[in-house]
Amino acid sequence: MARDNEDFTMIFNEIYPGLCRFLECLIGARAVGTTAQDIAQESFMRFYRQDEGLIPAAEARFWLYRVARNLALNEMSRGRTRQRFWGRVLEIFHAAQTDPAQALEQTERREILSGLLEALPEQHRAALLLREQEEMSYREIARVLEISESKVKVDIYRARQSLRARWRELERAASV
Amino acid sequence: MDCEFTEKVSLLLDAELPPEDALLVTEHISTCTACRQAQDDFLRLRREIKAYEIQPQPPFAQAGMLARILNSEKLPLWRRSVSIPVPLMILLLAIIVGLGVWAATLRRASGLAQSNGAPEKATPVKALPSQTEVVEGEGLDFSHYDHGERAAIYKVRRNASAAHTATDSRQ
Repeated sequence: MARDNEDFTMIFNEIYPGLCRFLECLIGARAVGTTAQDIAQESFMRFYRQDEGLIPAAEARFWLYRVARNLALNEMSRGRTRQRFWGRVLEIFHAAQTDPAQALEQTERREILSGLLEALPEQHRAALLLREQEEMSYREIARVLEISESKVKVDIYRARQSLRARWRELERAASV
Repeated sequence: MDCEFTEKVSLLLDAELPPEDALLVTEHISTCTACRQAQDDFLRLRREIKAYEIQPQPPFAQAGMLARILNSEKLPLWRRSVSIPVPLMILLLAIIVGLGVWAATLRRASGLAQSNGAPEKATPVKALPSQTEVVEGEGLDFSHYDHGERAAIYKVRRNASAAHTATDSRQ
């Protein structure tokens, strides 16, 4: 069953923004902008080139997240979390459009959360992000991360506990 | 201080508990301060993570990316890969190895049956059974294990030695 470009475009438009967000949170604050988008693009490119009915439409989302996460892991292990030219251009483009005070607050929140997430082990972080941002069930997360459901359950719980403890520490530090 | 139910609070928030357990945990939360606090903290984290926004790409950038992908060439069939779960791959390998072993066993069994069965008419050994018996002083007759060449050598040697003996006796 050959999938035509219309179907692919629909899948792209539906999944791409969420995938970029997931990747950006997974990779961390240092790799804002283009790196997450590069990985998302590479994942879609592989999906498009690979796909000829081999990946059923219902599986596309899990396939893309799995491939994107593996690519992100490679990227992280290579330490290629540098900002690139387009990342800078996009930041400037974005900054010009928004209210500076609002942008500052948003950036601060993003940085705090990014820092907290970055401190988690990668697998805990990935499981929590798929649950909270993508609203995947434990079974779906297990398929994406290629681990057991019971491990997903434990990883998410530990991630939450760890984030919660760090959040409280930050609050205490801020109040002193 | 955490309660032993805290992990279940996490499961409850993710709707991963069976209904009867969910009811129990909900009742427990209403009476346990630690679990209520955990629930509030988990929900707040959820809100924060959901609210995380990435810098939006300009529409032309996303459209350009899509166009680049759509204009890329698809992989030829022989360069495509299919992801197979490891257990399934092990099962496939086991089936292939099993079939190989089974085929080898069958082949060996049929070979043995042939060697123990009816005599082969085409071989010179079987054509002259009386001449291919064990020749005294000349070792074993391996004709069953070859295609008759060795037996032919024995035959030639025996004929030669018989001729030699006849000459000697005439003298």
